Amino acid sequence: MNWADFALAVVTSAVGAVGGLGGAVLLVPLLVLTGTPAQSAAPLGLVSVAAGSTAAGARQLQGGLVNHRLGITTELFATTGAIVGALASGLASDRFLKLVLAAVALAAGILGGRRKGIRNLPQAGLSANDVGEHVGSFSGVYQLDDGFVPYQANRFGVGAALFTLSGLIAGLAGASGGFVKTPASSEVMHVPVRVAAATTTFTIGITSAAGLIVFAFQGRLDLRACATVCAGAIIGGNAGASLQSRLSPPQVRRFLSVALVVIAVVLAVRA
Amino acid sequence: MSAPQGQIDPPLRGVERAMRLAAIVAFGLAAVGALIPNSVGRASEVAVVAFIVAVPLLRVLVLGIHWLRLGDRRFAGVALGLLLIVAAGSIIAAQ
Repeated sequence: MNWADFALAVVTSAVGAVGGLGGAVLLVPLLVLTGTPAQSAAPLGLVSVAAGSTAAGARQLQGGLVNHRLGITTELFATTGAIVGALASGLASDRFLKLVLAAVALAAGILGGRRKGIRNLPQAGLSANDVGEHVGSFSGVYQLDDGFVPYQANRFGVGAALFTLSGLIAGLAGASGGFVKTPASSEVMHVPVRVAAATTTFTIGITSAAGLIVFAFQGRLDLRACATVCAGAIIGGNAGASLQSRLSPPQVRRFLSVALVVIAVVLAVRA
Repeated sequence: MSAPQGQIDPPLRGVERAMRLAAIVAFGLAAVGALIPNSVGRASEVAVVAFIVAVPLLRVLVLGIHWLRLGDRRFAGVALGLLLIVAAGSIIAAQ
């Protein structure tokens, strides 16, 4: 067992689960920097995302944080974008894609960090019985400390376009699109940041599953390394989800902003 | 039967329990695969990758069936559409 890969998977998955980013965008560059060939690092990144998503699932469901209707509908656009992106991956240069990703991550980090306060506030009259998502819509209620917060996703058209773009970029560059999806949900569609992060953690598991099937057909999976990264990602994903449920929305947003700026710098340096 | 628009659909306790169990099973398979070098370890390596691929797709399937039973046909259709897109992508990759 490669303990360095294991430790990297633990740390990056924990960070990914807190911010709803997926750990791959941090893990893949770190694996490459520590000597793993890029062709092998990309599938390991997707393994870490799929495993982290599985690990975080129960805790995020328990808190009523995941809006499955919103997640599955937006994933329809992201997955279509990812397939189109993967098929078109030979058309754009690797350097151009990394710079686009860095610009998107930096812009999302700065925009999220500038916003102050909480957009969605607890509403009197709601109770634990109201927690959940609403049938036939993109709205719901989640628990925040002792209060219960109603929310409604807005501007679905713009959000869907951004999700398609996130999938397109993910398919082209081989990275998880979580760092686009979470800010798109919270800053554009006005979904509370904790709901956005938890919903993204669910959907990036689906994207990763689709990507891993492709990599398996291409014979690019190092199964021993996959098992090592998976074990680390489950521990990290669980720890990250636990930490996320204890942080306030502004704290999650600040954490997300810092993580996005770090990602932007890593991507720009790699480009 | 169709549920009224806006009715609360609370978090599914069965899915929550299944996800907790899935994390334990995936960790067990991954640990055996990473630590044991013989044929048992190799079988676990294959099993854990297959398992973490299957879990999110099964979750979409279960949600789709739940929404269909609840009468939320629009979102049941969206879940089915997502699974079809993943299947189409897999078929394209296999060729």
